[in-house]
Amino acid sequence: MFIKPVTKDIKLILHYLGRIIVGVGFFTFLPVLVAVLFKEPEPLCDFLFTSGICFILGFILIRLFRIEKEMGWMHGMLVVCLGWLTAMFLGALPLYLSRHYASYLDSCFEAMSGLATTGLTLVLDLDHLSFTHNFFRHLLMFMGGQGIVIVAISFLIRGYSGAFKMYVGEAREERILPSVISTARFIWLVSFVYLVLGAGILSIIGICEGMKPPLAIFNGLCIFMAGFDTGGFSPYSQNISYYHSFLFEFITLIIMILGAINFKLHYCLWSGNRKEIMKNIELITFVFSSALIFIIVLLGLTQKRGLYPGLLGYFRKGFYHLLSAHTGTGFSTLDSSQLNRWPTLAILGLILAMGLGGSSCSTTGGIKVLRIGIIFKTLVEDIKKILLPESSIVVEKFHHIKELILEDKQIRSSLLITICYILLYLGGTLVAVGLGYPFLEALFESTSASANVGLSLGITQVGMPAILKITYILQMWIGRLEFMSIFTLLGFLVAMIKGK
Amino acid sequence: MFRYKKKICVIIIYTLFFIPVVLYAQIISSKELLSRQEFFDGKEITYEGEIIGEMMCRKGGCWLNVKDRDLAIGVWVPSEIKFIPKYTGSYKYQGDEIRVKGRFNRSCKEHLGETDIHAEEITLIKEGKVIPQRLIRYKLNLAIIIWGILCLILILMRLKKI
Repeated sequence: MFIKPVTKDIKLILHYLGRIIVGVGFFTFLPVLVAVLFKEPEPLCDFLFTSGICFILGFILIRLFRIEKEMGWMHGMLVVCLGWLTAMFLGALPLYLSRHYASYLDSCFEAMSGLATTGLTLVLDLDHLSFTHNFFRHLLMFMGGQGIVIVAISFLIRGYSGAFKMYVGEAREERILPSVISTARFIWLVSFVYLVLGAGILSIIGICEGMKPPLAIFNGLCIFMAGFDTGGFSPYSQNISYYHSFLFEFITLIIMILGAINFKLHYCLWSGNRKEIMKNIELITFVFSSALIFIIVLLGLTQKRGLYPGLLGYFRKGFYHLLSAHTGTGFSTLDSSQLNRWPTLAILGLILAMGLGGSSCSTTGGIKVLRIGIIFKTLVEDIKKILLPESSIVVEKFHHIKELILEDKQIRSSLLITICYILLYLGGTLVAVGLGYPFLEALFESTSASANVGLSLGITQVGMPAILKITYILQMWIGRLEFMSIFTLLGFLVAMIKGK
Repeated sequence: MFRYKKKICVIIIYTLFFIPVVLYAQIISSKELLSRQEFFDGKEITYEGEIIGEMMCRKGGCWLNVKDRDLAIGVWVPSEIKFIPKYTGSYKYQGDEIRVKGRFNRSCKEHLGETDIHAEEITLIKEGKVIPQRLIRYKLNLAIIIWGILCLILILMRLKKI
């Protein structure tokens, strides 16, 4: 039986939604500074207009709908769910106004791809897009990677008890520090320190590789935001191959890995607990799965004789794309038509890497290696139970920041989410195959969208059917929020109709 | 029989010598280059497009990214070729359009597996230009109206009217 939501519930949701929209407003105002810096008057108007709309809408919602009850799990999940959709619609506004998108749907696709840190793009003539709009595309990734709610919690929802419920709704179950607000601030601190370091190093490499300093800094900043937040956008249509630099690619590789690591692990490293690296189940699973899938990719690539020159050539193309897929970034040094020419085994390796994803409580998407580690441990436990005498008690442990005993609750939740992801990957594949696309390409693209990766075999382009664009938008949204808040939204809608 | 063999040999020799010339003469698009990269690999080709981004000079030469209607391809310009573009494509500039004659590499050994064109000759076919920056009136008006409404709301909120 469902309990019909009352007006107080809706008021509470709309109030918090208003706060999130104000947060989005601040983010849409930041590109105004870039527009002033690069002297771009038209983009300046686009962002003034959008940020103004966000502030007006946000303030009206905050003022009109007052909080009359305590926030529950349902409210938290719904605020997150609707917050992401609203951010997409608002974030798409300046993109559409740039006239570099064929339709508003395309700009919504781009905004969701940015926010969900996917990296699939439908932009037209990216190489002539303004610096301001280009910066905003990457900023969307930074905002979405940190989490829209983290933005709001950090600056606008001070002291509210509901913060944790929204934090969980955004697919982050683990608190790094005792309170959610201090956790959110720590995430910001980590991100900013890495931002300064990463963007600085990329800028210096850019200058050494022949770029002019202002452009090198701009590119360093954009590529860092897209890399650390495992997004995969780039200021140029060639993505990372624009830079023609092995060193640049190597640094982006490190940034991608840093982005795919659990923020809790970052905290351990920052607080001097370096032994955690050797014991952490997530990191161990990530290293093992990367090695295993790299063998698959390598075996696939060697099926085509002389595809790349020497071992370094295979590393540069094979390993780079494998880690780009596994971390959920989507940076590429190949055009989609070139990637499409990879042998099927190598493509399957990439699909597997994309599907697994990086760490939980990071900016990656996909099933997440923690869940894979838990499922593997469960398998080991079950095999032990069969091999040992019936009277023996098997207790399986794993290390994730601290020693933990494998419990049924964790196993159930890991399996449930894994099944949901597999169904999501297959759902998108079914739609694309139904529209006439080949199975392998459809599976690749669907996994890429659902696991928020951004690598493409060429299906994602302006001319693809609108129904497929909507499917991928939904997949990116559902994949980023990891199902629970979406299920809550569906339950809420049912309760509105059938509830008593 | 001997006559036929001689004819076949002549045809083969002609084909071997003239295929590269034919490829050199006709302009190959980026889409065609990448979709038939095994065929074009190591061959002399002619490619046309707009220079985008900026020229990045390093030891031994410079990189140019040249885009035709579909895609952009990296062009390696060795130091011996003296070519400096006047305009490179960006938001504010339409880049110079150039014709590049050179060798296409599906996976360049010199550049660690990059797909590139090693230029042997570059010709400017159309000079780029400055794209005029204009302030679109309706956008400016909309922004002013929206921020005016926002200021009004903030004042009303301050006065606790809403």
